[in-house]
Amino acid sequence: MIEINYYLIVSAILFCTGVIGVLVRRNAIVIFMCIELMLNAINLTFVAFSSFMGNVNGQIFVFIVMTVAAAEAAVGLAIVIALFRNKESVNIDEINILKW
Amino acid sequence: MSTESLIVFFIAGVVMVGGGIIVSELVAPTSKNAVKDETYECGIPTKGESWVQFKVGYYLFAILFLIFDVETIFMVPWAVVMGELGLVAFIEILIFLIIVSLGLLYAWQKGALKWD
Amino acid sequence: MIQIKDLLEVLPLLIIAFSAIFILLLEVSIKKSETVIFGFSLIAILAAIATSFNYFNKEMIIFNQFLRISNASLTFSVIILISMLITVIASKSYIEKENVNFGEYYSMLLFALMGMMLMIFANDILIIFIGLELMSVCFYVLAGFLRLRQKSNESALKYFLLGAFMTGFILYGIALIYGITGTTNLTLIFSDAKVLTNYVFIIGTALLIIGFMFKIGVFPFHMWIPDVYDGAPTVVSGMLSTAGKIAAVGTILPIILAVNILNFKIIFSVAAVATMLYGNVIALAQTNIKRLLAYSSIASAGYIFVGVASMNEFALRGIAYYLIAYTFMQLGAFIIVAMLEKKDDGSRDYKNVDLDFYKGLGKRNPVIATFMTFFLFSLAGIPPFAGFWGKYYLFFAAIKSNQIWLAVVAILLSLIGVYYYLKIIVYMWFSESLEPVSEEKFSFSDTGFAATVLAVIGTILFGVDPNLFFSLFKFVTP
Repeated sequence: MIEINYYLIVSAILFCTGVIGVLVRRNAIVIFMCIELMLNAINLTFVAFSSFMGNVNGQIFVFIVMTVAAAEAAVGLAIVIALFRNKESVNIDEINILKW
Repeated sequence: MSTESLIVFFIAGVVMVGGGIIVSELVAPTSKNAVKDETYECGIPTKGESWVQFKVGYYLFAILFLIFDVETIFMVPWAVVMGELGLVAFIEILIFLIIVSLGLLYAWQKGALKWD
Repeated sequence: MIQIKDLLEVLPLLIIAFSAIFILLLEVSIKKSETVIFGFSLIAILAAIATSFNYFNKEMIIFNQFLRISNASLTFSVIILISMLITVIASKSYIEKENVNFGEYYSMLLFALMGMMLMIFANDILIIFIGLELMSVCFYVLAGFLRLRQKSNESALKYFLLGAFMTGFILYGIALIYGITGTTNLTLIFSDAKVLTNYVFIIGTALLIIGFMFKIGVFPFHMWIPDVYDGAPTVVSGMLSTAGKIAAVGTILPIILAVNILNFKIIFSVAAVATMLYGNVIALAQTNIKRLLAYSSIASAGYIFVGVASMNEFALRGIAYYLIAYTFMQLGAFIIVAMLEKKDDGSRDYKNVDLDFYKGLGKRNPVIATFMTFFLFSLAGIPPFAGFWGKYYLFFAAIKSNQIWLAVVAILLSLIGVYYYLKIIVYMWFSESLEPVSEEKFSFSDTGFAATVLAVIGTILFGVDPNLFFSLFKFVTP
């Protein structure tokens, strides 16, 4: 039995990797992938707590998070495609009509 | 599993995978020429860029697939407990599926499933 | 087990949910169905408002403790419904003008509305999360609804990336709360007083509150507001700044009050002061009216947080009153901007949204200019308009909680606000038009005009008789 701390540390590291990725990367798709990484880190936290406490609430939450991530991915990709058709770029630095 | 065995496992994994790559790099015979550096080594020179424009229909299909694919994760836990809960659970999943298929109906009527 | 009679207790929610789905089917099955859909969504929202009033004074927890119906949540949901009603009315002429007259627009509005109501009625963090995401995803789409206009695309992308980023933090907070308490039910979470002092629990709650502060637009999480409101379709900006904020405030307020972090009162006070200062000062320098209204909405978030920081029985009254006043005045101002905006001509930017365009508006179009003056006076907090009473009740709550300094600072900062609102009024009535503006006829058959009239009625009605609001929403005098 691996202690719950290990899971929590791994998920915290993954979460921070995602946050750093969002802050330093400049491609909208890569930023979005980093956000997905954050969500998956949270899923790991939920599952770890859930199995540690023998309580299924956390796993139900994971289902909902996965569905929401898919919905967000669909909407996000649609927005990126709409922008790309007008702009021919998905680089955040070139998206500058509204100052970032 | 104790911490020591985890460390051994980790080191063994790194050595086996990394060692394999390094040894094959050292031992395997290699030849370098211009043709080797091409994207496809099938004799035909490549034309144009790899950033060609895809039909937007691909993305539409991808997005639709993404959504309907994920709906399955609600079905799995339902299938596990279906036997115990009986008819009520069946009716509830039916309502869920009807709502999901209304979405599919919408996409269908909008022509998102047509490929031409 | 969920019982059928529980469904009857959430009739407003069901009406909105069914009509949102039905509209999608209507859109694909009937050609040229936009007008039918417009009428249908109006009827749905009116029916939801009418049924909401049945549930006042019936405190109850239903659906396996997932939803809680209380007077406070009903008040917030009715305010949101009113805001959406005005938005839907104003949208018709706007999306016709912008050549995006699709039925899906109304469906998106109704889905967002459903998400917001779900969030407010939630008694479980799971439901809060589902509602929040339903709302946010619809907002991303609505912000980018003018898909051929680059500015709208960019605003949607920015809102999407930042919103999804913040969702990550909210979720991490929820995960920590779940890890400490072992439940996602709000009643159970707050029933254990020992948990409330656990530092991991406090970190989790702080992350949750920060995520909602982002949605409300409180300093230092406000940076997306001007860009998104500037780029989004103007009516949608109005909706984001009213309904979206009200939903976030209505959800997080009970949690802040229940966590009972009185020791952290000072943090909320400082956030409120910083937000008011930032919003009011930066608004002074704006030349684009959409950005100006966006900064004014940041300042309004600051006023709301004055109420949150006071954390007493007067806070809810003040916040609810300010929110309904804010709905009418802010939405009304945005709708007038939308009406005066130039028709879609394939350009990537919005036309006629500069402050210079408003010079001499009083001569060109006295009716619209008068209405705009009402809204701006109300936003500036001048009696007898609703905005004055909203600020009065908020600052009153702050004084009652022994934070007189906060009330004084808030009054001083809202005086800065008076300057830029009066600047627009002076431009409208006492300046000459810069260039001969081509006399575009503003038709009174425009549905935007009807929405503006509704907003004016609300602004004046709640300004003349403040007790009307408290009796309408069954507030008990403390």
